[in-house]
Amino acid sequence: MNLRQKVLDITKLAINAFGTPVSLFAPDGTKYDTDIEGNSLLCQFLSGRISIAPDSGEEMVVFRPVATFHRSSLVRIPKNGEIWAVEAPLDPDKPEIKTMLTMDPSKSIEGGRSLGEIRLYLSETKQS
Amino acid sequence: MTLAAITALDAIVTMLNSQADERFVVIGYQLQKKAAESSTDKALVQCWIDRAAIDWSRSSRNGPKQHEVTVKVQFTVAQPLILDIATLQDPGSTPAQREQALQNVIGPAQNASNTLYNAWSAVFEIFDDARNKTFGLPAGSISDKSYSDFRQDEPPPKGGLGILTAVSVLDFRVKEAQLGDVGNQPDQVINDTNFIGADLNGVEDEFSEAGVIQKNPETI
Repeated sequence: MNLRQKVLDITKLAINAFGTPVSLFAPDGTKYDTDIEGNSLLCQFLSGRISIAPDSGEEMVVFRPVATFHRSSLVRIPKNGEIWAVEAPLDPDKPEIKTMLTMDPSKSIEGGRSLGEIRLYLSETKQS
Repeated sequence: MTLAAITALDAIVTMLNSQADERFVVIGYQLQKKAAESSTDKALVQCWIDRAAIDWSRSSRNGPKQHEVTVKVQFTVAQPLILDIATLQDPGSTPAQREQALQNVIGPAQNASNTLYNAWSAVFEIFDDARNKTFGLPAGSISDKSYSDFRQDEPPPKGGLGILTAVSVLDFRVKEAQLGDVGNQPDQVINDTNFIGADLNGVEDEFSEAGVIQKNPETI
């Protein structure tokens, strides 16, 4: 096994060991609660408030949720320009309360095949 | 004594808030660091005096002065993506219904842009309304009013909300009447206009506790 393969395994192992169960909604309406092997769909879900500096010059603090999946666990890989929804618990102490967040075309996906990760920068979502 | 420029700023904030009609909320100062969530329900409009200068060609050195005031009117909006969440969360919904829900989203960038332009349009109309010529102050208080120069900033790339900021400029002129400040104590009151401070023998008059100079009886 080469080093790259080892890293891929480790990142997958970390997400499977410490990940948060979430639901993914694909653009075609398919809901994924399980990974490609039929286990709970897990991701490394992080959310917090970060400072940003708009051109206006005043600093702002904004909520920033990020979901990192292992590519090999996904039945379908999200692509830039698609709209996906992620239902995830914001509070790790209250996993039963899930919030709908969305990946929309205004943000780009990060990650790559080297580590086998795919990072979705999500938007807060309001009922229409 | 408050400057007429500051009184005008207060009047602008009061006028905009009274006519906001739930579309935006106005404050008369700049925030240091604000939470994006404070601008999600309504656009946040911050007004402050960016510059004020005396026009000496129209002012008196010792009398009323024409004060040219520039007020910055800054808009901040932070909007989420709008989606039919109920359909996605409904266990009975079909993939086709969920697909439809995901196709009919309004993205955060578009939502923020709509909210920003709505707030700007409303503020523009309020400033341009002839009934608001003097911001609710007495007639003649405000002159040469012009609302112009809208400039929208680039959206910040990070964060879970669509954030937009923009600045517009309101110029007007007020007359500053110099009535004197309370911190500047008036000169001492003398109750004898013929008083010269000392009698011919060099005996000075005395001051009472009230600060009023009492005439030396010997000099009367």
